[in-house]
Amino acid sequence: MQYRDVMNVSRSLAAPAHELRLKGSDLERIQFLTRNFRVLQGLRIKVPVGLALIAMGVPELLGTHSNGAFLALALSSSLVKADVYYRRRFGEVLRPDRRPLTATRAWALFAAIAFVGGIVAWLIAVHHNGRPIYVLCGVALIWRWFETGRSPYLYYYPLFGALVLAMAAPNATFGYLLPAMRNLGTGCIFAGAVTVLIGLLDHRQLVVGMPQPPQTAEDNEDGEDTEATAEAT
Amino acid sequence: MTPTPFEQLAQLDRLVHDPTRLAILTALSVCEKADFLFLQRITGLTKGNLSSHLSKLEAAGLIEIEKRFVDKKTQTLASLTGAGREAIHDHWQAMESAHKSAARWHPGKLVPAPST
Repeated sequence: MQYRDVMNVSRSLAAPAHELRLKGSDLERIQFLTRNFRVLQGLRIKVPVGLALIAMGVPELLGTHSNGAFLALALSSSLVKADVYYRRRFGEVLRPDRRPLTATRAWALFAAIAFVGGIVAWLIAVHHNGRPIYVLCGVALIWRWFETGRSPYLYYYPLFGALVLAMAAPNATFGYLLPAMRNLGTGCIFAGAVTVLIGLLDHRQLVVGMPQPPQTAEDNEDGEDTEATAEAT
Repeated sequence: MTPTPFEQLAQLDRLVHDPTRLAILTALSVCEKADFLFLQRITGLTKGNLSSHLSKLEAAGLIEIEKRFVDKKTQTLASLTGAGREAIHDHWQAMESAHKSAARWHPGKLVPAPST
């Protein structure tokens, strides 16, 4: 690791006792958290989507009807609330590669989601088992890991991605080993549980990596950053 | 004559090499902008301390501070300037060079300090 090696050389220029003491791994952590700040907001998308999958899987397993409108409402409201929570608790980062959502991009995104969703829905309708859900979830997790630059901090993405993909293998779910896993309801519940777990692990990375800063008398009560305008000491 | 690793380290820009400011610049180097709260959480500094370091970096022209209102509250955003990006890039280059020199360095004949 480049920064760790380099920082080991510079220990002779250590900070005074009252200042921040850095190790090379701290700079790696800072880079990782800043670069993947949106990805690590696990409560924002992954946990609600995972819970929605579980909520869809349970009625399927029990043979009852699910309330789709209620699910959609709960999902959208939790997305908004989680967004506000992260902004107020951890702040905000703008990425350089963040492009504005133009009409063309929005349509392309919608078309891609509709296409993949259509294929998965068709596969579910034809086979009526959990295999399409496993494949979609596993591929999404592994693709996300590649997208984040295969960060070792996100080791659980390929781990769980491979586990979920393995469930789609004929001998795993459709054979005699785990016959119950072939069910569509079980597939939704399993994929949902994995998604929720990944969301919680992501969230934990933020909580552990960005601890609450020390409060001093100079800090105001409502958390506003009016001190930012203060003159340099 | 090639400078020793110690001389190379001594030539580093203290403004950038300070661990706190290096942490701030490292965070800003991988994003477009970051707000005050994010920088505070990621460095673990108090508001006053972070504010002081941001002011120093801004005065040196390494970062830009932008203020805007979000939900009737002031949000302070910091971003690296072109000079800031160059400074942190040069800093890592110098550190890598010092690291390589340190790996090759062997203590030679010690020269006594001149008597005063």
